[in-house]
Amino acid sequence: MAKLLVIDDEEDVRAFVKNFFTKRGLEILLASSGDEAIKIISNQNVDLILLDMRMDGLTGLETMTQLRHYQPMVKIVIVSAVIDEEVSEQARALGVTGICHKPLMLEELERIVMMELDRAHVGNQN
Amino acid sequence: MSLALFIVAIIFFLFSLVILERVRNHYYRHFLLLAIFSLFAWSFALAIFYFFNQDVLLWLRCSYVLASCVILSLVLFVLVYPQHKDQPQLTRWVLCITPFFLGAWIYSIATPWVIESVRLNPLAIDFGIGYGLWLINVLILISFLLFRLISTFKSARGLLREKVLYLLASSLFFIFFISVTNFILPYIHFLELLWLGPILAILWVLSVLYLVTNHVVIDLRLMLIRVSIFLFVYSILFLATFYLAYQLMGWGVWVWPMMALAILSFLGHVVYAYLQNRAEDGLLNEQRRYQNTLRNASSGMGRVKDLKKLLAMICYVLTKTVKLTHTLIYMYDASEKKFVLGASKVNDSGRVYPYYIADHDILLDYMQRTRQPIIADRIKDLPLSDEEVQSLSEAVLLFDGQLFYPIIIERDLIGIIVMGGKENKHLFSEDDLVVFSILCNQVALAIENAQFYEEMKIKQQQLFQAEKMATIGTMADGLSHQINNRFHAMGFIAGDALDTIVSNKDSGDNEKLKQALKDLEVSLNRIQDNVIQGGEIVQGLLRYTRKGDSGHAPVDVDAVLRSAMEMIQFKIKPSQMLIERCYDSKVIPRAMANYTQLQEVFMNIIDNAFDAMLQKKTEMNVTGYMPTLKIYIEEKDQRVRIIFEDTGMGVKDEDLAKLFTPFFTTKFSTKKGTGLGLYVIKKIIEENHQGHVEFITQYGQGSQLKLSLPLAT
Repeated sequence: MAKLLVIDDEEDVRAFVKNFFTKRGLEILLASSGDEAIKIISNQNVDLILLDMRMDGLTGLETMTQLRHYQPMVKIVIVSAVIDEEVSEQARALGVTGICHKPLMLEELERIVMMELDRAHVGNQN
Repeated sequence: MSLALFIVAIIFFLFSLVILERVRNHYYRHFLLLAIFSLFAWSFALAIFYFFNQDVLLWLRCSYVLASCVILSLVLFVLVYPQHKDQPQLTRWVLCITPFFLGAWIYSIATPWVIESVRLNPLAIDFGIGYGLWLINVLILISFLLFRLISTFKSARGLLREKVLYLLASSLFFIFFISVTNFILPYIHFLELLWLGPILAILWVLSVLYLVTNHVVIDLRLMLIRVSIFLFVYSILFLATFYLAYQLMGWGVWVWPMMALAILSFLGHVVYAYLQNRAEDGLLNEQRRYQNTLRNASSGMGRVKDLKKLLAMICYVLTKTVKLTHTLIYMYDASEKKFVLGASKVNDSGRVYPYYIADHDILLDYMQRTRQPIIADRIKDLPLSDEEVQSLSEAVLLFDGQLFYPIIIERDLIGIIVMGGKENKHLFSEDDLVVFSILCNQVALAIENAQFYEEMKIKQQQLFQAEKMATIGTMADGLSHQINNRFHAMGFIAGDALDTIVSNKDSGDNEKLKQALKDLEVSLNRIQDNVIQGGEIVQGLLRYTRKGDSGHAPVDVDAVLRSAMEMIQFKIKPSQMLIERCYDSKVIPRAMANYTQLQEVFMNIIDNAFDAMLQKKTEMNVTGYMPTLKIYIEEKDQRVRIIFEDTGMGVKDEDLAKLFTPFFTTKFSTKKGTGLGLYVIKKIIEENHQGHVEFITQYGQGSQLKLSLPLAT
């Protein structure tokens, strides 16, 4: 079963994403901040990370750097409110898999997640 | 004789009182008192010499000593006169020398050295050999006095100069005559005018007293001329009469009444002037009182900042203090292009006055031409043709006004003050008219002040508004994110709910439930659509309010334009204004620009165009008028040229110069703009983008705003 780590400070977002993807047979891990996420990832590997860029505490980029530290090859999809050129550049430098914009429809998110997981699966299989 | 002496004594007594009371300076007081005392004694001695034939020699000698005392005291006065402060050195010097002088004189005169003897019939004095020397002595003293005065005069300035000149003139005059009557003539055995000496000396002391006690800044030269003329005329008249009488009747009793007559006529002149002033004061008291009030009012006017209050105050003050029937103030209203009644104070509330003065009223024409006040009674004296006089008189009648004063600021007529006649139907005096003229100048200044203040208030408000906008801008960033998060969360919630419904809607048999689920699906889809829309709005706002980088990059002008149009949609509905993009969107040049700033510029331009066209729609009331904005983009001469063409109200010629200045706005919309739009556009395009802004307009037809940006290579 594929593991998906959802990092977002919004409770609703976490709850409904979990709901949604659990029905599709994924295991969802939740973190409400960068620190929590790092704690989780230090204990186990995940297949895909959904990262909200704007959080209190550790910033999205900082979290990304830390996550890469534990799992250098993990796929990260970031969700951002604004197309900030500078941030996008840095994120790409850190090897982000995809950038989504808020507000995002679950359908869209599903499509992206499935696509990335398939690739990973295929990758793993190869 | 004794009577005469008595009169003289009284005079001296009065003088002494005056001196003691009004002369403040110690030195002056002492020297003047000394002079007076010496004068008195001198007169006394002379009187006795003349009328008592005992000890004539003694008394004669005394009189000469005392005459010298008078001169000495006056010299001493002159010594200290211009310097008011203590001069201890000088005083000591003077105090030491004086006794010597006095001693020397007394001695010389007491002996036959100066005056040998006196013969009684006919009256003649035999002067001794020492007389010449004594005379020279006195002459030196007098020269010293004059020399001192002249040197002080040369170094003095202003009022002091005037005073010293006066002292010099009077001293010269009197000394000359006294010397003639008392020192020179007796030498040639003409003793008849000996008694003139003390009288002249009194006048001299009088003049000095006047100088010392009068601190009013009057033109002394003028007074000197007046007094000289007066004395000259009087002297001629009286001397001539005296001489005639003397020739006819010889010396006699008649001399004394004649002299009294002369003195009284002189005094009479003074008394007359005094009484006249008092009488006038009484009569003009009323006049002076309200002139004072007006003076005070004019100084208070500067403090009133509210224009309406100011005008009301002026009307009130004029009507109440001068006791007029009414006062009206008409001010020029730019929007109505007429002079409108701004304020009024009317005693007879039944009477109605015109609300405005029409643009080509003869009254206005005249005032604008000449900028002079109109006095109703004097219209026929004006240099106008008969018909003009007639029509002006008629125009004036409408207002029932006696006086019409123009209010002028920078050579423009901006208002007229109309004043009715006095309630008591009295005339306006010349003084009145002068005061009113001055008042009107003050009024003009006060109005200018109030207007300036009001403008300042408006500008301040605009500034506050602009600052508020800026604050909102900074808040928008944080707010947008918050709102965006809400949408995001909502989207997921709706999405998840949809998902649940979709996976369950076809299971089960309950048709009602199935239908309910179908309905819910539709609703949730609608929610998702709204979330997407909401997200887009916030996106636009975020993009706009972001403190974007000021860097330049090759920018697709069409994309910026579309983005701006998208943003402006929230203010201007597509049904209100048609935006035509008159260019081939596939062949758009890229300009070297800052995306965000350019977007702002476009938004401002579109907004302004809309306002101009809205104004036209409302003001010109054209049916079927659809505000249309045409936009052209082309590449020319290595530049990207963007032209915004509207069919709005355009801009008036007189406003063109101020168009791009900050805070200038002729915006029509109810939420008046900050007036910063065009200013900011110019700044951004010209300063930040090395671009060029050109504005072509025709009032009533429309405008064209042309931008020129560097081409991205």
